[in-house]
Amino acid sequence: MTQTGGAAKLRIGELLVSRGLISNEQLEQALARQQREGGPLGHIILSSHMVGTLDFYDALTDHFRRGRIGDLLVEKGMLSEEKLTEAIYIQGEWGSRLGDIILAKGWVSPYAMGQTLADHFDKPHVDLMQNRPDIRLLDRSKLSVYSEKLFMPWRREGGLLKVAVVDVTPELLKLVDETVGEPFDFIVTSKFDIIWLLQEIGGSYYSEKAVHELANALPQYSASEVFTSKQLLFLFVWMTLSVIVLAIWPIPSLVILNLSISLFLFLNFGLRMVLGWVGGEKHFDQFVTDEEVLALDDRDLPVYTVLLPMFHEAATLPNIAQALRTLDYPLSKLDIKLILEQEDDETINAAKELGLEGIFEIIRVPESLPQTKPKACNYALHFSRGELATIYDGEDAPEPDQLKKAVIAFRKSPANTAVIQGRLNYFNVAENWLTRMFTMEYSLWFDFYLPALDALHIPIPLGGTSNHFKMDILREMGGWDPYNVTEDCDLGVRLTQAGHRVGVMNSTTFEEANNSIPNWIRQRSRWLKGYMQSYLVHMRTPIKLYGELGHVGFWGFQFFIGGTIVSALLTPVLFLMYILWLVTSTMVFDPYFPSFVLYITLFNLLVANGMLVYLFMLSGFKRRYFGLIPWALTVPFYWVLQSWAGYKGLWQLIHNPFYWEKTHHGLTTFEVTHDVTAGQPGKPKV
Amino acid sequence: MIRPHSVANTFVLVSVTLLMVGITIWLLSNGFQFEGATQRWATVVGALGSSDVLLENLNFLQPHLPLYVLIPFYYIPGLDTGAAPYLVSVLSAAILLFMWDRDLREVDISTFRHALLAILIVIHPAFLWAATSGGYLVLSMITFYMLYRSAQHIITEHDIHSYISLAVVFLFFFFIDGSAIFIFVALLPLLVVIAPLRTIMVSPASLYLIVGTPFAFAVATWGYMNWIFEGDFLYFITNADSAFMGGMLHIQEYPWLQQYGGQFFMPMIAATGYMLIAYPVSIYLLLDTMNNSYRFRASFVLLLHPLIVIGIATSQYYLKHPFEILGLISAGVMAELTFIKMQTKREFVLLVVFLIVSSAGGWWLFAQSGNPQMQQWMQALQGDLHLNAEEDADLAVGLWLKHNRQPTMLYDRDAFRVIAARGDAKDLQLSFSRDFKMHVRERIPNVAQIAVPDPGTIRGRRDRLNIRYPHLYEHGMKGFRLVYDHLGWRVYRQNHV
Repeated sequence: MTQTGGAAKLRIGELLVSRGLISNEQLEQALARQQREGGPLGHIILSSHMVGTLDFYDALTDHFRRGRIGDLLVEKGMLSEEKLTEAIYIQGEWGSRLGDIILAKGWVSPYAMGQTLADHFDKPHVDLMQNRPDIRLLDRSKLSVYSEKLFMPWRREGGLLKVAVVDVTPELLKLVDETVGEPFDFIVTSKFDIIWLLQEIGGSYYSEKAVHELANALPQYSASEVFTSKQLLFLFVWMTLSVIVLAIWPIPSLVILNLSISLFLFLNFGLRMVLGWVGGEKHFDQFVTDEEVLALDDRDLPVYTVLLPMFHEAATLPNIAQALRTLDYPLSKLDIKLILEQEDDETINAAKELGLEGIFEIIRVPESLPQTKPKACNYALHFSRGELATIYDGEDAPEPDQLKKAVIAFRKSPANTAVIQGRLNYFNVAENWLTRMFTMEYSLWFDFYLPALDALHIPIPLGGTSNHFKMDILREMGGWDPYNVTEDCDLGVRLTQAGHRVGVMNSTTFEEANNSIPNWIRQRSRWLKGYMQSYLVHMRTPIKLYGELGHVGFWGFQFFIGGTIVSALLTPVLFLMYILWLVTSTMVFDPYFPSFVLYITLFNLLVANGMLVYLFMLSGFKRRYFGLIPWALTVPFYWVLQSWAGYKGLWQLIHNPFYWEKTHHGLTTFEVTHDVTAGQPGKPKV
Repeated sequence: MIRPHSVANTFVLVSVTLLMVGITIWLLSNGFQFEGATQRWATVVGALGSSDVLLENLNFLQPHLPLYVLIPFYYIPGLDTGAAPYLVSVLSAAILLFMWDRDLREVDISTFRHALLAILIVIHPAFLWAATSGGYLVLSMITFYMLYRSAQHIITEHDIHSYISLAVVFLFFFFIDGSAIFIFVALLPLLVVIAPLRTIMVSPASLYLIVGTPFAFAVATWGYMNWIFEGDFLYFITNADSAFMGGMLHIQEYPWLQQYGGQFFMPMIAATGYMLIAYPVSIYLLLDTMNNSYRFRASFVLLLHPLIVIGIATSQYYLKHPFEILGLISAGVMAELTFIKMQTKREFVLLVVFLIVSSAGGWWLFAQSGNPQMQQWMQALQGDLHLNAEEDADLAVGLWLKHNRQPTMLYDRDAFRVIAARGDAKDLQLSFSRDFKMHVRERIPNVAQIAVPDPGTIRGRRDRLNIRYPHLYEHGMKGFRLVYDHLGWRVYRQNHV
């Protein structure tokens, strides 16, 4: 309801005059117009451009306010006295606004809160689904601002623009003022009304941005073009020359090929040894200590967006919802986005049935190609309000203090740090051979390799989840590449190229390790295909890349990203040759392995492979998964699987580059838990 | 507070290094030659001088790293006299001292104390012998030093680095010293003293796997290399010439093995006596650390480990002399000194006294029980050893071959001193070479010269050329004439050459 009653009119006018915002003449003009046309004085003053909305409400906030939110809720019987007392106590701890705390706790529905807020500000509460806005008033170029800040132009009444808002703060009013660029007044609505309506109206806009923003703004970084014409030309020339050289000098050229492969694998091994050693430094495990977490003041914590892309994962939804609820972070500062595909009714319905608290928001991503996780995340970015953001998967169980650790890690890191990668590991460690291998591999990757990459300034291929971003930089980078099926890896390299730092921290998210070989092959083939995409994208201009990454960064990229691909593709060829030689004692290969090549090959076969097996052992030892250590001896079979996935990925890169091989989750028989410490891996469900 | 590294400390170490160089020159000028050093140098010279430079030419009967460190010196002009192994020994000893100096910074001691400790370490005969004799014992000492540092880190830090270090040190140890297997096995029971109790209680197997796997890989790798190049996985422990066999096939030459070979406890007890004389400082360190659990565990391992090694190695007829292992205690003591706090004057004085007593005991023990080479070394040190080059058969024929350069067949296994005296292996057709293998298939080899030792000697009987051509030494061969006959060596040359 807007202001009515003669006494109030006088008081508004007097207040504005006394603040010097309008003159007596202007007040008289407004009163005259009110007499002529009727309507509230404030409305007339605003629509006559006598004063800006911001100044108007700055001067008159107390005038409009009726009661306190908490009291109003108690008065209406929506909240008990006890809850209010608790909320006030929590407010002292968290430093959040009372309404946000009550919403986050789920004590009052967002709709009811909207109504109360409207009463508090003595403004109308509008159900946008019933009273739809005038879409001609929407500026399409500002849809992202609307969705991020939760307001939208609603209608024009009496010549004055009415803007629907979810909350009323001076900062928001200032932003609205700057965005709409004309005098306005506001009405109150609930946040889901705005979110749903903007998705309905702006779905195609957000989709377009999610899919094409990077390709349009920075095409050189988009994997939408798999091979550039220059790369194809290079490939053609290189292959032609190779065939010619092979035809003219078959033995020397094969010797050179063997030598190149052997040296590459040797250096690749060397890099991994260095990473294993550097990553084993004790301080990486104590980068953020428990004491620092305890000393953190919750009132200083920023709003944190948690992106939760899911697709046909209704079964895992309750687990992740519970895991997020139990995060040691003020709930009122969590902005959780359940990012669901529009056609995924199963998960959408499951989410609705769970009756999630107000901190959870369902973002429905309209159907469009490519149907990939990065596209979904890009879409959700438009609705995200956090200063920091992270991604979790449906089957994740992050350690409860992870977000706080990320905040501390950012504070302790150099200013150019754009993202902090948490560690990933598995809760179903001992489920079968594959989960054991996968656990050791992940432990090696996240507990040794990534900290070492960070220390050595080599681009870090981010993991799929638990990477914590500064939101402004993430947006500045154009989000993730929706065409890249390992968008995380690509983004890590892209951030480094742009001069940002990618850091790591000592907090673990436990996931479900793939326990089925076909499912694992699907997942791994996508990862390797994505690595190939990322490699091709960043090697379009190798000299520029060299300049941006420096010596160590460039060669680290070649061996860490390129080496992973090359190893996967070469392993079966080399194993096959070796087995053939072993079984048949053939001398066919002898001319191609002169002594110096033979020695390097022998070194790679015996020492390098042996030490790589040992690294797997160490990964289990460091995580105190002692039971895994003997299993490390079987890792060569895992490498064979890796190669299988590598060839599948290569095939798909050529035939179906943007296809997202979906990994099925929820296959485990183990309990989802983050309590996988001190040598106690997860347990089977009872 | 850790003192900034003082220039004076560096000066002391450089001086000590120069002193060791001086002693080495003095020893060599007095005619001292270490058989092992000559053999290693000859192996390197033979392999690198061959027409096909192949890894397998170094043979797989001895650890390879002591050979690899000699390779760069082969290409340095002026070192063809065989001085390279001695140079490597001194340089390695200097490296060990500098490593120790770096680690000693963790202990707050003055430059004077630092210098005093360095001198007392170096003057111990075990250290000086290792540093100046041209053997690879000093490489083993470096490894042993790192091994103990790793063990200390496991005790105090038990971080992943210390476990990796220990495991990788063992891996390298296998490629440095044939006794590494005994050093490894002897440490296994002591791991329960080193590792944190919690890990031992939860999963002892994992601990042993983490520490032992690289070593197991090293052994397997060596076996595989033997299989690839020699056709037998166990070639390195079945061949009579193998250094990995230790003294097993020559028990009669070694009093220690004659007395204790095949036993475990008796050599341990005897070695304890040796240690009490040559390293009473170990006992002092143990007693001094009684009140500190961490330090005590490290000292306890330092005391017991070498004794167990000696027991096992002797029981397997490997160990020729207890000082082969006891000498490593010098490195262990060095590591121990980086770990203890010498805060009080009393503590430091006692330590110095025990180091002096250790040195004195060591010299006495060396004089009383040293093997023939050690005795020669001591004589040379005193300036009493004067070998007559003209009476040295190998040296004489080697020098003759140096001045009569022709393609020459020579069975190298026992003729390493000949090769070392010649200075290089250019034009020598040694047993691993294709030419040698091709020629021995012929009734009359088409080679310019053949050199053979007297078949009446042990060496002559083992010489493959004598075995292939049994009448060659006595009667020559059709188409060849005798061109050299001196002190049991004959060289035949083709008539038309």
